[in-house]
Amino acid sequence: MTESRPKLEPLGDCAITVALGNIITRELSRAVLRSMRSLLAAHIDGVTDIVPSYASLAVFYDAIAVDYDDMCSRISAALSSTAIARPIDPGMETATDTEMDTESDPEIDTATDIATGTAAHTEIDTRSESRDRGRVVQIPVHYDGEDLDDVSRLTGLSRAEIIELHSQREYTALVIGFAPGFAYLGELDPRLSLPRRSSPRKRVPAGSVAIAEAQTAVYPSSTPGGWHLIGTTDLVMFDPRRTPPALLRVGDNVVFENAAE
Amino acid sequence: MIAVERAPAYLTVQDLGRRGHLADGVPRCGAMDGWTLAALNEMLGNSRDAAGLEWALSGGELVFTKPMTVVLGGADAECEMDGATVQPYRALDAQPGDRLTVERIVDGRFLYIAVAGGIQCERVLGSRSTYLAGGFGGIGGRRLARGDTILVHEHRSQQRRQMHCLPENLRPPRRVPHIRVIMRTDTARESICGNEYRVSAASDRTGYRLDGAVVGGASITSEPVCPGAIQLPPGGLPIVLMADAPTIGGYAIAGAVISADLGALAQLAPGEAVRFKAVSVIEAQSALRRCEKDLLAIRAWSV
Repeated sequence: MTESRPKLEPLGDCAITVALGNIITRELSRAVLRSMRSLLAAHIDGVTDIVPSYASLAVFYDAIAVDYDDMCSRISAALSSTAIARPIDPGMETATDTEMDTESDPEIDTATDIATGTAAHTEIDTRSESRDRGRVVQIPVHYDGEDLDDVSRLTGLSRAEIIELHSQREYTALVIGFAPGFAYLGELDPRLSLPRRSSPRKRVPAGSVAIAEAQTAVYPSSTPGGWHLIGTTDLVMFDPRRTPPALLRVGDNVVFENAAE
Repeated sequence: MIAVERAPAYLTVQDLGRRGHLADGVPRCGAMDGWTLAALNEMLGNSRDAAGLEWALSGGELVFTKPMTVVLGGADAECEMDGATVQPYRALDAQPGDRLTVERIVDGRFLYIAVAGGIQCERVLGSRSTYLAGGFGGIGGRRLARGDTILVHEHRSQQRRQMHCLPENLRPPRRVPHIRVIMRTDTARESICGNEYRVSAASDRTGYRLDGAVVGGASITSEPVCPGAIQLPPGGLPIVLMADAPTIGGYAIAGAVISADLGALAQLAPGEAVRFKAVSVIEAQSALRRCEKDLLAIRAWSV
């Protein structure tokens, strides 16, 4: 896969945005993850936080200790050293990634792609016990959401079909944001894809499993929200007193299991 | 201990916020005007990120139940301690039974009260700052109410002297002619810096909305954001993200307010005018180092 050179630009005076693109694709998500791992592995002095998003990430740093130009050089060095290391170090990139990266059209046959990719990831994960790659998190769901009937009406699918489509595939945590521990999981079966509700709820209870557009998520805390609620989980998605506080990290694979089965 | 006898509409425990949890979606949090809290802490010989009280909106009353040294700063407020007017940036020795009354905030938005030793409460995710939306940090993750008791750490006064009165030149500036920003594009710079804005009433710890010229914005693929980032929603008015802002945002980012001036922006009350001036990252980081130098000067005096 050819990756264009990351674009570095200031995000205020204490952070730098590393932009790899500006759209949502699985390739970009993986590139962000790779960049994040390179940056973490480089243990750059003065870095306080690294925040990944869909097509970019931000490096937060102590600007009293390190100035902007210096930090840009350190980031570029960390990113390019990994790019060089890739072909000669098979441990850095799995066969799976190579296989996925060479696919001609990423938009076709998503389900198979994700399923295959994840299976291989899991295998590698078991061998290397890498905590960062292909971790699979299972989330038991009671499919009893308030909006199931609306979703059924809007999609023309039965409740059973909705449950089946939602729980049959593996998702990837693409971004954590909006609220602490809120993971945007992609991508949903296109048959379940719906625009957000026209009137958002003032309060969506914690543990609500929801869908909107091409994504699904679990609300970690009670917040306002406009997604369609299809179920609930008893898992605690975010607990500030737990280490780590968020159940999901970017790059995790997620499977929803029908708790009624 | 400090007892809340009469709570203002907004009173929380804050320090300088959280580091290392942005990737979990946890905002930075912390004092809206961090420079003021840091300066007050340095005056008292506290560690810079000791927890203090952030007070806003209305009057209230605290009662001290132990002797302790206290100092106020930030917004101008009418305050009294046992009948005597309290001057900002001047350390006071409170005796048991003393009452600190804040009649009202006269000018500015956030009043800070620091105590020698710092406020004692559990650190959650590395910080004592209250994150209201998440319901954690500070005391019960909420605003303080009448009847609450605030614990204070023992102060190691034998180790550090305290500065009795902070000289004017070391006080964080409350009013600045313009808020300095780092802009990402020329277009954004022209529209943000070429217009006068007012802080909207719809402003809180998450973000300050600005009333004034509408700048063409857009929804974007969500990107990481930071406190100070200036967002441009489609067809809307700019929003400056503040301490409790989410870690990721889906609106175009025009640029960001520099760290040195974010406290001054935070102190602007709804309706107040604000002008922006573009600077380079280099200038922004020099300004940041000057703030650091001032804090170190206070510390050098009080050590």
